[in-house]
Amino acid sequence: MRKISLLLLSIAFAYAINIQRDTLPNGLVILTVEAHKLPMIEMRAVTYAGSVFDPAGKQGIATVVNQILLRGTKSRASNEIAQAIESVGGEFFPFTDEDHAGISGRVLSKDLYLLIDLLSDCIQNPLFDSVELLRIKSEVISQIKAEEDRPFSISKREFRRLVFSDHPLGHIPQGFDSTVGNISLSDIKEFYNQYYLPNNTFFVFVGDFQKDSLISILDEKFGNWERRKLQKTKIDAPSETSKPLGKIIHMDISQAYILLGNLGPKYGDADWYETRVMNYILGGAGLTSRISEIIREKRGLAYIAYSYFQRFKTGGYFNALVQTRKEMANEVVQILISEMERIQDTIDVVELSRAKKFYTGYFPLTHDTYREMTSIVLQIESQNLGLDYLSQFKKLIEAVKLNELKAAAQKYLHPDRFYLLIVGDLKPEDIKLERIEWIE
Amino acid sequence: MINIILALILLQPIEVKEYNLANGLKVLIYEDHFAPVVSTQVHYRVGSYNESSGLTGISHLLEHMAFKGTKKHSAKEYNRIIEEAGGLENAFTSIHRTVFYAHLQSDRYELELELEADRMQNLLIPPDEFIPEKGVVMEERRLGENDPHRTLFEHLDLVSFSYHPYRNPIIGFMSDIERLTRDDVYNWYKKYYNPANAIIIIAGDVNPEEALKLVKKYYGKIKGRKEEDILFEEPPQEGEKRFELKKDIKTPALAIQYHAVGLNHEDMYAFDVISMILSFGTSSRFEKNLVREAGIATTINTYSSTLKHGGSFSILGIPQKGVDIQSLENEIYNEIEKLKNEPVADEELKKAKNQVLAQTIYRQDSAAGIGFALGWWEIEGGGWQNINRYPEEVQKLTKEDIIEVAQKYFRKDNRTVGYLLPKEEK
Repeated sequence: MRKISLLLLSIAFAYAINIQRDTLPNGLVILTVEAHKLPMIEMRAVTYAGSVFDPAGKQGIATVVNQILLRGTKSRASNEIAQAIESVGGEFFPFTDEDHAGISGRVLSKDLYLLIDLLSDCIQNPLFDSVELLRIKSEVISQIKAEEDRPFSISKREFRRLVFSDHPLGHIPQGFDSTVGNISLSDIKEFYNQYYLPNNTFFVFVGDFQKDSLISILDEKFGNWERRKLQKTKIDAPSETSKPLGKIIHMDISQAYILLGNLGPKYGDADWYETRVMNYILGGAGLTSRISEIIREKRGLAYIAYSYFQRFKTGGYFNALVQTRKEMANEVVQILISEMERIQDTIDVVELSRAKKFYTGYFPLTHDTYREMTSIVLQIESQNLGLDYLSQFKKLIEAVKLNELKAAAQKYLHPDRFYLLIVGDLKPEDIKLERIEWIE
Repeated sequence: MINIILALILLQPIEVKEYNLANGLKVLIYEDHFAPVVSTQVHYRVGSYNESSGLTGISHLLEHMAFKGTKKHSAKEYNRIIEEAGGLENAFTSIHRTVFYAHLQSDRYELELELEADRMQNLLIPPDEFIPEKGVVMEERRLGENDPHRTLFEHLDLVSFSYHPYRNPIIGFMSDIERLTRDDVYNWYKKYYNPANAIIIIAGDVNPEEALKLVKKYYGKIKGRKEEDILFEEPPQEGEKRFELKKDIKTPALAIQYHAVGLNHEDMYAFDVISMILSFGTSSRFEKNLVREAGIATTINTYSSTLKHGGSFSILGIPQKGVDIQSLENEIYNEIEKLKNEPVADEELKKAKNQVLAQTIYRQDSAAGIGFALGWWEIEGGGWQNINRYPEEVQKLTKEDIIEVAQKYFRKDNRTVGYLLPKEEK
């Protein structure tokens, strides 16, 4: 009996998640979660320098700047950096999304100092070598080209372009092959100087360290990183179409990749939890959502059929996505539109209650590893969710009411003025829609 | 030496409680109390390896049909029970296994044990659900066909293995999927889904005695009948094989496969370390020399595939824009020749060993992941205990071992080479 109660005590202790937030005098924010299950540490160094800040004509620059940070400093060559971290089994990966650019790292806890030492050198003393820039540009352009052989990649890229057109959210972080080629060394330096500042950056550390000693190493290595006033480029809200717009990208394949959607909420918009639950019922819930039940389970028309809301700091979109054989494309489009309509009038309490049960039951599974914990802490900081978010989540979901779901559906689903992108061997005549305007 | 000592300090063996029920069911329980979550998994000893010609894809199709209801629960109820418990459920089919699992909060993992026991005994495989679900699987197959590199690898296995079932794609060939009947699938179910042909893995925040009691309650009375694998021996390859695959693409690719060894063959450790040296991380040889410095490839990946009854070592290379695929192939061979002729530097071997060691620890971040790995080792790798033996064996490797294995297997006569090329202009 005693053994069992001790066990329970240790479970409770292990799961008392304590997210702490500290700020260095220069504005650098440090979020930490100590966990001692394994002798390892997960890290993310995140700067608000994502691809929405790419200037027109230089799309892809946020990605290139982020990558070049790991390609040589004033005292270490590109390969020395890789060699140093990998020799001890550690990992560094650059990542860029629409809002953020950063470096993710993972090391055994004995190598924490090495990790921070390298990170500090890469972020504060990049060399910006012209040969490395050429290499990165060539790698990125080749990757963009290779993605053009994948209908799924093309569909996602072109859907963004269709929905946001010239807005900074209209391109994926890689940019375009035509614009990556335009990026010069001085563009890189300018972008870096504008955004890579301690007061525009935060770090997340999860794992086997003592917070106080971690902070003192960070203070030693980043304390002198100079704070400057951030001159952030202002991003306007994206503008929406007043009628359905369609585009077909021709590819000689047996399936049609169908993406249908419209603009949606951005981070921080108040009605997010209602919207999220509404979408769960519509197309977010694995095989039990309405879209999946009709298109996949009943009709066997597709392997993949779902919908989601993608949010960023400056905008967002809704997307219902299905891959089906090309002969069934028209039918699938009709089903998606009618489901977007139907959910505006009919949602029943059973569906709401099921969604709530899922979200509240599932929540602990979203951060049951160091790695996932690191991701969720990143979101908490970036979206300003509050350090008590993990304990608040259940209440936020429980508070959602049936009439709010309908309101969210009416506000964020636009079956009368959507964007439709299809990749496949199809022509506009194959899709029977009356008011739609097809773009070449 | 210091490295080995450090490795032994860091490497706490993964502790697993093993129980064997009278009906042949093996139960593995791995405790990890970091989060209040339990992963419950049933691994059946059946996959594409067991499928003879004309039946390819049947294990995978059965996996799909296994979600279509039992005498107790309709298909809809099935999905919803786990959904309402906030669980994450899914299944996958591999070459030697079909795996069903749910990750749930630790206070309710019994649900999944109950549902899987039901699935093991009472599947209906309803005829009216069979045709639409075949449609879903055919769309899944088409989805794969639209991925050019996946298609290249499907052809690579087909050409490389002339007789051995490792040539068959897990999802099956389209005409086989079309032909398979509801009764074929039902018979497959009756043949393979039983306790003696399965292992149950419970990983996470669990009390082993309690879990064992539950397993006995739900599975103790089910009859077991073990199916043994038929053994196939691929005739030795006596000469290079080459093929071309033409698709509607812009960027060509290159795949190379050497016949290699299966799990528990003493050479497997060297293959994994070679794979690390060649392509793991940005300081690896392919990445450093060919991607970055020479700028001739976008990516070059290697895959050391060590399976239950054999294995292969494969390379996928994608040339950078404007680079001739033939010259990429030659550069890859130059790197392979270096491995055969020059001992790897001490530092490089030490790095690879450190990477294996670190990955061994990183992997334990996920209790569910350890659960899946245990199933893999138990069914394909001669026993779950080898999960702990693996990193120790890697630490013992010498430079001579690497040269020996490289010379033994990386021979022109032992390889298959495939080019993925754009269709010629009409």
